[in-house]
Amino acid sequence: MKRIALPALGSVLVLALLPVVVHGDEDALMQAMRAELARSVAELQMEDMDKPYFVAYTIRDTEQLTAAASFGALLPGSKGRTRGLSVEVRVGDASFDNTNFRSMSAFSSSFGGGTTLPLADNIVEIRRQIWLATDAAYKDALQQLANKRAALQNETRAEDLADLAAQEPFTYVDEPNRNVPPLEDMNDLVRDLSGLFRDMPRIADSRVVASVTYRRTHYVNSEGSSFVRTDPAASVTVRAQAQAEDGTILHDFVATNGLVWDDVADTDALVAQVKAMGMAISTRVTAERLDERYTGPVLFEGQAAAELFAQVFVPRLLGTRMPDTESQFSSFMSQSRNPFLDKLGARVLPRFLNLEDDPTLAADGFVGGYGVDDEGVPASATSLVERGILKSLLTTRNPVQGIEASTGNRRGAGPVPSNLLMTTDRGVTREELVDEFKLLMEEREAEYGIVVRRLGNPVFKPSMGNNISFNFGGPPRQEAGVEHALVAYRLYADGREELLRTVELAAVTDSVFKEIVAVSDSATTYTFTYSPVSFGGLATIIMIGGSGFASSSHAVSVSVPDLLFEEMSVRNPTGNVPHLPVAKHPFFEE
Amino acid sequence: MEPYTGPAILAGEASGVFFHEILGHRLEGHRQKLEDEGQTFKNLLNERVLPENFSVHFDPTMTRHGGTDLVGTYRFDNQGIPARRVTVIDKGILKGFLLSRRPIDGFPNSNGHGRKQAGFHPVARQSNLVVEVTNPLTSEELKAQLLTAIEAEGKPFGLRFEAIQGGFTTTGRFMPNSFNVTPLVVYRVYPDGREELVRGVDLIGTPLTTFSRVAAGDDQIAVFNGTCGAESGGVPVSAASPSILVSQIEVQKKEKSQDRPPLLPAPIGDDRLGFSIY
Repeated sequence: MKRIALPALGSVLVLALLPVVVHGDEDALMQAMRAELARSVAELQMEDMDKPYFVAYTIRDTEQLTAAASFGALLPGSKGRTRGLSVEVRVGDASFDNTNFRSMSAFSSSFGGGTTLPLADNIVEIRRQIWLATDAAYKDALQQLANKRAALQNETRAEDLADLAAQEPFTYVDEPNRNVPPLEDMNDLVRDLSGLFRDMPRIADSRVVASVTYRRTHYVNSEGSSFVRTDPAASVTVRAQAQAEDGTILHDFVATNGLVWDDVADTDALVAQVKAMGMAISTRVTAERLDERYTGPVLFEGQAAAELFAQVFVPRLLGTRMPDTESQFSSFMSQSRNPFLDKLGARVLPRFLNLEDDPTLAADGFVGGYGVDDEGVPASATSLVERGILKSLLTTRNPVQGIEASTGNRRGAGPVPSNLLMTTDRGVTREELVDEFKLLMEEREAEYGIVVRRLGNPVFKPSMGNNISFNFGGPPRQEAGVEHALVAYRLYADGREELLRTVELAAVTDSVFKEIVAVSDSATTYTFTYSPVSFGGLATIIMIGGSGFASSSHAVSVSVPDLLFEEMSVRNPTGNVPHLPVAKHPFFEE
Repeated sequence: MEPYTGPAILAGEASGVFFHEILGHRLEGHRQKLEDEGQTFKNLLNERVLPENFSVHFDPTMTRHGGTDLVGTYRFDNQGIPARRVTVIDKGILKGFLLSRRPIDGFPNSNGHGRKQAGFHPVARQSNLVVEVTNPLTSEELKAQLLTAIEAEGKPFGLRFEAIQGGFTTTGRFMPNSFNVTPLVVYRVYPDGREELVRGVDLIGTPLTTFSRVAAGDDQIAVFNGTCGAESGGVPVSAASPSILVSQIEVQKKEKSQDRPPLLPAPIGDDRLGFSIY
């Protein structure tokens, strides 16, 4: 640390000596953030305007390596490091400030601004960047507060909620634990895995992507909270697809998620999984089509149960605040309101199921944990559903009706689950579950029932045609568009199973979860990636299929038993399918 | 500086970009056939468009001009056609267009200017634009002509565009068919020859009017190297030109930020005064 003495001049103009709290053992980033925070809190004010009542800085230093390969050949990979600054400046007070407001004319983020920082720990340059970003964020905040006051002047607010939930100051520092493999190791693995498809003539397209991220996040706010948190993540994903004779795309994927490379780079296990997936897709090419429409009991096993829960139920668990808007904009916003905001205290699952989110859990297979969230709120377990009744949603410091404190789930733009555990005291064995299933079939005099063993994931959609999707934020629509089932069977009363090519689940809504009849006594632990959305910023999230972890996505682990549903509609996928390629695969033709 | 119209000298780089925008883009072959294009020069073939001592050619085979490397150089265009020199204006007469493999009326073959950025489809684009003036003036003589023009038109001053940032033009029919050259350094030139640095203006105009006002050129060749963006992406191009005198140009106010400067002093400034200790 460099101390610069006051110049020894008689007529020096001394304006102020700032009360900077010195944290002698802190690193350059923290020192720079604290120094600018002190200046901003003490001095930042435009004449006749509000001072900021809350300032927070976040610096994310992210190192990321990706390797990709197809059919035994390397595709462009990457190795890079970035350092980004986010600045949050709030004016007004906690009950009414510049946030939670959207206007048609101003789409800029309501959480101030940010910029990229130099990778060198150069305090002077980092402070200069923070200084300018804070200045811009403060001016922006004043403008937003004025716009919000003007827009709400002639309206009565339906929900009189505070804009920032109170929070005790909290300090957290974990040890740096950089564990990044050489890119060559990752290249070797993806090349070898993708080469396996040279023995699978039916697979027309495949891709293997490995990704390792090591991130250190520094945070400090004007309430006295600060943290330095390490967020490691590693994944290997493999996707493959074939086409049935009628052109139907049949795809599947293998996705392993962990914290560090060694968690996910078990070559033998991956080889076995990829071979099994390739075999499964190839078998489906000639499997039966579900030509009739099926309505009846459906049993979701293993990954399919977890994935269905992730796609349909998990988004409902997020307490995402709808911002105030200019009146002409409000009907559009209200379409995206999470219906679970009105279901606190209501039944959302059967009596025998409980649900908890636990970021402190670090058991085998659970990778969604953390020590402190992005707003400096300590991580803690949240009971979401008790005996079927919705008790809470996952929230940030942006209060929602009925839950005015943060549950410590702010990750990126909004609340994100960590490790979700669905538990029961009435789980039954696999045999009992199948017996129950057959009973339901019998009641309906159904010839067969449908068992789903694997369900598609939105990140691993087939790559035919356009694989870029746009999502304009907010929880999914009422009728969630569930991905197609990848592995599904007809199960006959005599126990015989008949593989189906692929099926579509029609009109699946969160309310179907109330109709779960029975669950297994064992659970599947499954990890997927989730990108938070926030109406604070109305961010456009762009997901590019096959890119593995998107930078704003978080790994969420769930533990879900097999689920037997009373009734669902299942059909052959609707829509047109592409023709088969005109020429044969060049490799296999030879 | 306020909006103004009057005579001006465009120094080499500014002149090069001026020709690139108002002439070069309008000689790109496909713009002669697309119905939504302005087709400014389509029917001026073999007509006079510049003073007799002005000639313009495009030459992707040139690697240097004077002491300066040219970035618009290539051996083959993006359609595999060998690069070659194309004379577009000979002694003031329009002689041809820049062509890709997309034929236009009267020009069935490519002349090696089908260019693109990776990921785009090639269209006719510029390469190294070279403006030549026979019997050029010296720069002193050019300035003297400027002063004469100022006086003849009774203007309080003329302008000299020294350094420029770049430019752009619209060649279609819906938007006004105009150009904008964005200068970095501009001087007011008073009738007594005195020069005064000014700021805050862009050089604007419409192609045919402005082109008809090109009056003279000097012997001071300068090269502007840049990246040209159009429907086939960004391609490297050069423009080499002497300084030219244009008897009437127009300038408009430059866009500028209305942002207030930062409220707090820069932290580095604080350090120097000793207010903050980090």
